Amino acid sequence: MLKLILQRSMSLIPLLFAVALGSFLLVRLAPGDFLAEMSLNPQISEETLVRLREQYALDQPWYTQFGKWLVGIVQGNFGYSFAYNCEANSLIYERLSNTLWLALAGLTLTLLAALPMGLLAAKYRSSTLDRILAFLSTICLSSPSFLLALLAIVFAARTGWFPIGSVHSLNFEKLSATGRLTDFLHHLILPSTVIALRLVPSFFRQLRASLIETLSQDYILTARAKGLSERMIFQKHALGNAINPLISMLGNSLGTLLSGAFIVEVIMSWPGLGSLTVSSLLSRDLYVLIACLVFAALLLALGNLLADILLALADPRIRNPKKS
Amino acid sequence: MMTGKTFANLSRRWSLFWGLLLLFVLLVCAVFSDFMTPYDPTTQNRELYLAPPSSLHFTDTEGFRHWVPFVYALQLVDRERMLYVEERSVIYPIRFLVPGEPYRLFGLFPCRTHLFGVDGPARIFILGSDGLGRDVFSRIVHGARLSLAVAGVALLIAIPLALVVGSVSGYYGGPFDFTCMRVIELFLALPALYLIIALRSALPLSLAPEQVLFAMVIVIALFGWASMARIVRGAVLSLREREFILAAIALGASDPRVIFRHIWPNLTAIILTQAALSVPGFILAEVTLSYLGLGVPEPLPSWGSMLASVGSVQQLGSFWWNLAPGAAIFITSLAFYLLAEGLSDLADPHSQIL
Repeated sequence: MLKLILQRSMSLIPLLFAVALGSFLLVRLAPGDFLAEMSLNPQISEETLVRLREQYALDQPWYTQFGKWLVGIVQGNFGYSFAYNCEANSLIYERLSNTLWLALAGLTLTLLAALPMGLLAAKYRSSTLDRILAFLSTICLSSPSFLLALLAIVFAARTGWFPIGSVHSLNFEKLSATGRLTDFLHHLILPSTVIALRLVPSFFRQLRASLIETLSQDYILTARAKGLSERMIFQKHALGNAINPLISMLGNSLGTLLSGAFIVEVIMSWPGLGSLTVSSLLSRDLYVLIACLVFAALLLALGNLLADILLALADPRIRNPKKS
Repeated sequence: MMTGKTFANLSRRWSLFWGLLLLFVLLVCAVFSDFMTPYDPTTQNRELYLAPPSSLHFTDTEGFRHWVPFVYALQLVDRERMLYVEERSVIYPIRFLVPGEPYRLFGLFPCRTHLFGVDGPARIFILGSDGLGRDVFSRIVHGARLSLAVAGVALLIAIPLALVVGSVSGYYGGPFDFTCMRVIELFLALPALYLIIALRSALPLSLAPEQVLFAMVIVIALFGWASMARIVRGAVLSLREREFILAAIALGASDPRVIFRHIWPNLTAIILTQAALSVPGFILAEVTLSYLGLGVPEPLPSWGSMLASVGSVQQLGSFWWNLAPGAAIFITSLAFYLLAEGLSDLADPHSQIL
């Protein structure tokens, strides 16, 4: 088990290095000087510009720049934000945690909705309920996050039940601990619902299909023949075996999750990694942009790793592979 | 058990039917968008900005019932509250195949006929007008042309690339396979939209309209080919072990012959399904880029830039018809998902996709 985790984590390093190199090259390919905008700003002195230029080797070839940047990263320093005039670290960590919360909340809501839906649809297969759920899932699947996010904004504006944009209310600092938590959750509900709506269909379909597959196995027939109640059969025999494809699905849908979060962040002004990526691209903020891309890759890779570990925990066949 | 399967099969046949029907309608809209729409997508009516959708009437003020629906001319009476009233003295019946603004059919033949329209000075805005008084319906239909064209051309690049890379690395294996798989993993290491942004960041921010279209096609094709190539490789790996391939090799068929004559025909269904499945993603990529201002520039009609131009939340709530491009994206995605579902049934009746 530990060996599996270690092996998989080690394989992340070359991948992340390749992503870093790739995005560095892509961003460097673009024309334009990153300090050009800063040099127009009268509040920034010529000395600062020269210092920055030297520090980040902006006048040297790209491999020197990349080398310097990589050394910085190993020391936990992601460079300088030319647009915000601050260290990139604090900026990115704050945004990263916002995206993480959003993704986690979206995933939780997805599971809360998809599990009962899948169970019901598999239990009452081919019934009217099954058909209604299948229809709803097709509708949800085809609804672009774009439309859902915009509709959510309209909904919030019309009813006034939910705040629009940002993570906290303005008076956040003055609130008590529980008050802060409620405030944060209040801001979180609508964006995470939008993300969940996009993910529920695939989880629902996967669970339904694998449950139906499991229920047609011989050992379920045996369980029925023994006179077990339907409830027991579902809980003890079917669900445990049907859950494995769902866990692999979890790993596969992380990309969708993060892309959904991207759109929600941009449209509903949730200050996360996605909106930071866009704003750093628009303001030609080299180091922030690359760091965002590396972190997006890291999130995806870690999520996949986590799904693999979960799968190994749930399924002994994967935990202890047969020696061939 | 049997009933469940029959139900599933039947519903998939219907998916294929509805998917093809919707696709046909979309293609007609895209190809004949100048003919289908009453106005040019860039024509502005500055005195009719943010006008609500025209209401169709059958009964006039004197209680006379008409067979053909008609509209009234609109007049802005209250700028503060954006209140329009109908000028009820003159009726403007809807006319079919009317001469209107000139355009070029297929970009070649000069033409003036539009499918429907009303006489001036009245305007028919089926889905209202935007902030510059442009007809939202006309812009959406023209946007369909743009979105489908970008997605289609991107597919034309992505599919051959995926097919060649996937089959060569699946068939031969070895170092080429290893390299290709590492490159593909690199492409799949980023979540889709981050990858799009990364690819887009290599190009200058502002480009001429033609360059933007070209850039978007390249970006979207590069983003789409990787997962497709991986699926093709998997399919080729399993096909290579099948008896008919072994028989072909035993009969002395050359490698290209085996790939072209025996493997590729068996990939048809997979490729078609993958193509249908990836189009919604391609369109979403185009829409996102245009929404962010990194794609199709104004005044070209694109669903993304139309949604972006809505602006404030208050506007969105009061002028709901500006959300119509979102509905267009929904219908297009639905068409392709239905198509993919139906196609996957043709490929493998027992498969469960999506």
